[in-house]
Amino acid sequence: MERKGNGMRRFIVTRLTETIATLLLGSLLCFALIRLLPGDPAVAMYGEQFLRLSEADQQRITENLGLHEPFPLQYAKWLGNTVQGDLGHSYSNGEPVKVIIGRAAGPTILLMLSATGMIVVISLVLGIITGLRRHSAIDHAVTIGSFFLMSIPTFWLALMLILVCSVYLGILPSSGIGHDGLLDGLKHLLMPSLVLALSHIGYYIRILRNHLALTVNKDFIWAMKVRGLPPKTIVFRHLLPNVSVPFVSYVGMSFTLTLGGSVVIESIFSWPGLGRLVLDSAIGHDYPVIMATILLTMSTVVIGSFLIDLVCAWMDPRIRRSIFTNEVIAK
Amino acid sequence: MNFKKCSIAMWSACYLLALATLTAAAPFLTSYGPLELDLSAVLEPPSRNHLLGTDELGRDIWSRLLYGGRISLTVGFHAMVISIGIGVSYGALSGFAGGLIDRMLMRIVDTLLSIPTIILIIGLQVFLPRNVLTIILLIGATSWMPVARLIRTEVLSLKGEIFVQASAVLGASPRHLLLRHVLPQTLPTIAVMAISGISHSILAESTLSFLGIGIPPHEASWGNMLSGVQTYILSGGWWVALFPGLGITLTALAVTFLGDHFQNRFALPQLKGGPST
Repeated sequence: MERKGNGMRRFIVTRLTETIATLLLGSLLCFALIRLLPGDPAVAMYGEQFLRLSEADQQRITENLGLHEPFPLQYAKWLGNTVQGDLGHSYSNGEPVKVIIGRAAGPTILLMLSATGMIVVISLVLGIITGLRRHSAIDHAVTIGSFFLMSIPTFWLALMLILVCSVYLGILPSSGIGHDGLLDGLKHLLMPSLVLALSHIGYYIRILRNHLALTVNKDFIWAMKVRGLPPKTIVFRHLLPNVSVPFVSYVGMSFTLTLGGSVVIESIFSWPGLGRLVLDSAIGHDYPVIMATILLTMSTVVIGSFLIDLVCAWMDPRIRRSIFTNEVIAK
Repeated sequence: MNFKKCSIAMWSACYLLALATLTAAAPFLTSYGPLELDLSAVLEPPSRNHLLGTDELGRDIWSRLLYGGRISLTVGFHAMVISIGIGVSYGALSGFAGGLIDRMLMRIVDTLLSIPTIILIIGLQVFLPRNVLTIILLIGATSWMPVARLIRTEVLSLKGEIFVQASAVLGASPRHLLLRHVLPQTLPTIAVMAISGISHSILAESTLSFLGIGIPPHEASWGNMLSGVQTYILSGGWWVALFPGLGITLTALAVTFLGDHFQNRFALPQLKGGPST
C-alpha cells in the first residue's frame, strides 16, 4: 500500500530536479550562444568602431566587460546577474532589457491566454463530437478541416482573415492593440488570438478524437453500455475523465506553440509583445534583447510544463509511479 | 473508408508529381523571368498577359510561383534530410547507449524543445550569412528533436526484443545489432517522420522568408513572394497574396495527407509531431 501524499512528494522532487537541470542547461546554451558568436564579443557589442580604439582602451573595455576571465567564471557571474533580474542594456537605445521585456510581456500573455482559451473550448467540443461519432459526415468534415488548418501557414491565414474581415467586410481592425475601452480592446484582440488558436487547433482536435476513439472501445465502457447506463453518464462521468489527462498535458504544450506563433502573429497585427520584440531585435542585431527573450521563453516553457506535469500527476496516480519504474511511458 | 483515404493519398501524390514537373519545366511554361521587372505593369490583376497578375514591382506572379516552387521544394527536401539524419543518429545513440548517457542526451533534447523553433532560428540566424544554404541548415538543425525522441523510444523498446537479445548472445557487436537489427525496424517511423518533415520545412521556410529573415529577397520563393504583401492586401490586391499562399498550403496539405496515409498503412501510433514554428 502506497500512501497518496508520498508518491506525489517523490514525483515533485524528481521533476523539480529535472526542471532545474533543464533551466541550467538552457541558460548555459544561451550564454554559449552569446559568447561563441563569430568574432570578438566586444566588437559585436560596439561595432567596428571598437577596432579603431587604442590598444589600452580596448583592453580596458574587455576587462570592464569581464571578457578576460575564464568561461565558467563569466557564466557564473552572468547567471547571478540574470537571476537577480539584471539582463543588461539594449544596444539600440540603452534602455535596461528588463524594462523593455516587462513592457512587451503583458500583451503577449493576454494573447496567449485568449488563444489557449479558444483552443481548449473549440477543440473540446469538436474533439468530443468527432471522437464519439467516428466516420460520420461531421467527423470527415472536421478531419479535413483540421488537416487544412495544420497545413496553412499561420501568416497566410492571418493575411486572408485581414483581407476578408478588415478589407472586404470592414468589421475588425487589421492591426494594433486597442486603447479605447473594453470593446475596442476585444475587437483588436479577436483576430490575432483567433489566428493563433486556429493555427494549432487541428492537432488538439485530432489528439482528443483519437484518444476518445481508443477509450470508447475499452471493456469498461462496453460493460457500462451493457448494464444500460445512460449515454450522458458514460460520456461525462467515465469517458471524459479518462481522456482529460492526456488533453491537459497537450494543453501544456501550447505554451511553446503559442509563444512561437506569437512571433508571426504579433508582427502581422502590430501587436506590441515579445514576439515582435524578438524579431525587431533580430533585425537590429540587438543581442542582449534577443538572448533575454530566448531565456525568458525557455524558462516559461520549462516551468509551465513542470506545473502541467504536476497537475497530471495529481490527476493520475499512474503518472506518479511511472517516473520511477519506466521513464519511457512517463508521457 | 480505406478506399476514400487511399484516393486522397493518390490525389496528393498526383498533385506533388505535377508540381515537381511544373517547377522543373518552369522555363518552358513562362513568358517572363521570375526576376524581370516591369514598372509599367505594377500590381496588375490577373489577365491574359499575366495569368496570375503582377506584384508591386511588375514581376509576373505565375513565373515567380513556378521558380519559387523550386526553391521552396529544394529547401523543404534538404532540410528534412538533415533533420532526419541528425534525429535518427542522435535518437538511436541515446536509446542504444541507455543509462546516464541516454539521460543526459535526452535532457539536451528537452532543453532545445523548450525553446520555440522560430525563436531558436531567429537567435541563430543573427550570426549567420543569409542565403539558401543557411536556411536549409537552420531549419534542419532546429527540427530534429522530435525525431530523436521518437527513434530513441523505439530503439529502447526494440533493444529488449528477443531477436535482438538472441543476436547479442550469439556475440554480435553493438554496431551490428544497431545497424542490422534495430534500425531497420524503425524504417516505417523514419519514413513517416520524413514526410511530415518536408511539410514542416516548407512551412518554416515560408514563415522565415515572410518575416524577412529567410531566403534573400532577390530570389523568388513562396515565402518571399508574401513578404510585405500586407500593404497591397489593404488596398485590395488579393492576387499578390492568394496564389503563393495557396501553393504553400496545397503542397503542405498534400504532403500531410500522404504522411497520414503511410501512418495508417504501417499502423503506427499517432506521432507527436509538433506543428511548425
